Amino acid sequence: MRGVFRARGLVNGLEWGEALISSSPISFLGGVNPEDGKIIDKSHELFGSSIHKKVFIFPHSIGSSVGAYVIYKLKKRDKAPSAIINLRSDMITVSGCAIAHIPLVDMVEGLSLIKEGDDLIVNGRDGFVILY
Amino acid sequence: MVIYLYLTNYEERALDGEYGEALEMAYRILLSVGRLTDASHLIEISSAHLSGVSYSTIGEHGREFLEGFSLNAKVTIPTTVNPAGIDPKNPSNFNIHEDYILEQMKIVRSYKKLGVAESFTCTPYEVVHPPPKGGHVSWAESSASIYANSILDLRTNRESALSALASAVTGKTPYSELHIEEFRKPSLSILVDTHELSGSMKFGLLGYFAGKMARGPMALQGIKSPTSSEAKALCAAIGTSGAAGMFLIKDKVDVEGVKFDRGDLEKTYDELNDAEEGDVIVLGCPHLGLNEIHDISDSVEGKKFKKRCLLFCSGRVYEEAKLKGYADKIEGAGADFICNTCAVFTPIISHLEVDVITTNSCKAAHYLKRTQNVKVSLKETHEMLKEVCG
Repeated sequence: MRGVFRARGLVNGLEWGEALISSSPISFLGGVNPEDGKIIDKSHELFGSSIHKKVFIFPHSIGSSVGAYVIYKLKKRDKAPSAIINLRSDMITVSGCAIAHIPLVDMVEGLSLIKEGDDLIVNGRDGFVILY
Repeated sequence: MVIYLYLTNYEERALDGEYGEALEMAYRILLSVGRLTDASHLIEISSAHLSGVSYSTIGEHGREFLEGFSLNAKVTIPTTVNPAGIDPKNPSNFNIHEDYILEQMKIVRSYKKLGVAESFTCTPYEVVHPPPKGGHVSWAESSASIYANSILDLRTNRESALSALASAVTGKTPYSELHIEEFRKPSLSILVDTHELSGSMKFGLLGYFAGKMARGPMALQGIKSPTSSEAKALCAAIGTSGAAGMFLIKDKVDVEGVKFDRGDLEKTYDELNDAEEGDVIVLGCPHLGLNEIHDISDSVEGKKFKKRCLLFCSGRVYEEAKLKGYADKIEGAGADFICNTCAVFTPIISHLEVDVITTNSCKAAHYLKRTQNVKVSLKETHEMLKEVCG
């Protein structure tokens, strides 16, 4: 399937990568290792997966607001996702992506059509996602 | 929903990096937060208050970010900052591990470089004169932003450490939510139906209950106008249990109501209190003001504390209390002041090696239990002072 999905653009930037989908929220502080980009929260459905270079799709962040700095650190260590898509975003993810230069969109129309491993382009300025 | 956030030519250029990396990053934060909160544009603000100072809250990741950000950035409006994890003016007190001190002092150095006022308090309105009523500000620290909206008649959203920092550097904030008059109208009313509510702890219990109920601005019905001490406790507790950013004390409102009766008061108390007696008394969450220190000094003058008592306040307020002679009376009774430090997000508490802490603060009770692995005995100030200072 191919298509262009409208979204709300939150953090500017244009990036691409494979979709990594989580149906549950994530706490970046304690949930993701900023040194290697792996999910380290044992209770999380994606435990052990790496978010590095992925278009990471999850509902929203939970937990400490320090999560924003963890997103920044992931980027500094070159272990960050290439882009993030949220169901409905939040202050932690938005501010983290803003300081880390990671494109972020939310409220994607037809998000359920996107499957794990799909090749995506995310445009955070104009607010759309391309599946190609 | 606003689909387009308007930026001026200057703001566009800043976003493109023409005025340097720090302003670019600050405008990226404001633009993104503005889009999240459906802002139509950015507005100018007259002051900022920053959270994210204690190493116990922002950790090494936050320290690393601030070191980079502060290299080429300066605040452009009057900016105060939250307490640190230890007193930056006396870092070697309390035998805290040197690694912690080093990390904390790096954070403090970054903020100094940015040019903030070294207020180190969660009650900036008691340390610097707040802006005139009706003004727009950008305050992080939930207890302070709720106080700003509800008591000082200022306009602020509940900012994060990063959004308030971006505001301090740019002098602007997204025009959204509580900056807009129509979003400041209460959407829920809490009908207080108890014996007349008085005392910081009881106002805190009301706030803890109300914070869970309300998502946005709320009206509180059936209470007297709180003293500044009660108002601080109320604001701090609302900020602890929920996301609401302001309240009004108003007896006639035409919105959905939730009752807060004696049973709710007791239930909320039981939720936060888990011991009869504590090993140490902790007062000053939020930081004690001069009037509160005055009250304590009156009730302990010439007496002796039977237990350790720690009082948290800003260095500025402590200096005033010293000048007025209040601090000497309290110290004479055997209590200790800890300045510029948060009563909760500090290694000092775990260094005490105690099981139960007595406090009057619902906010402290909530966080101490969760972050310091201690039990809490919740009491009104006069009650605990009567028990342990005779």
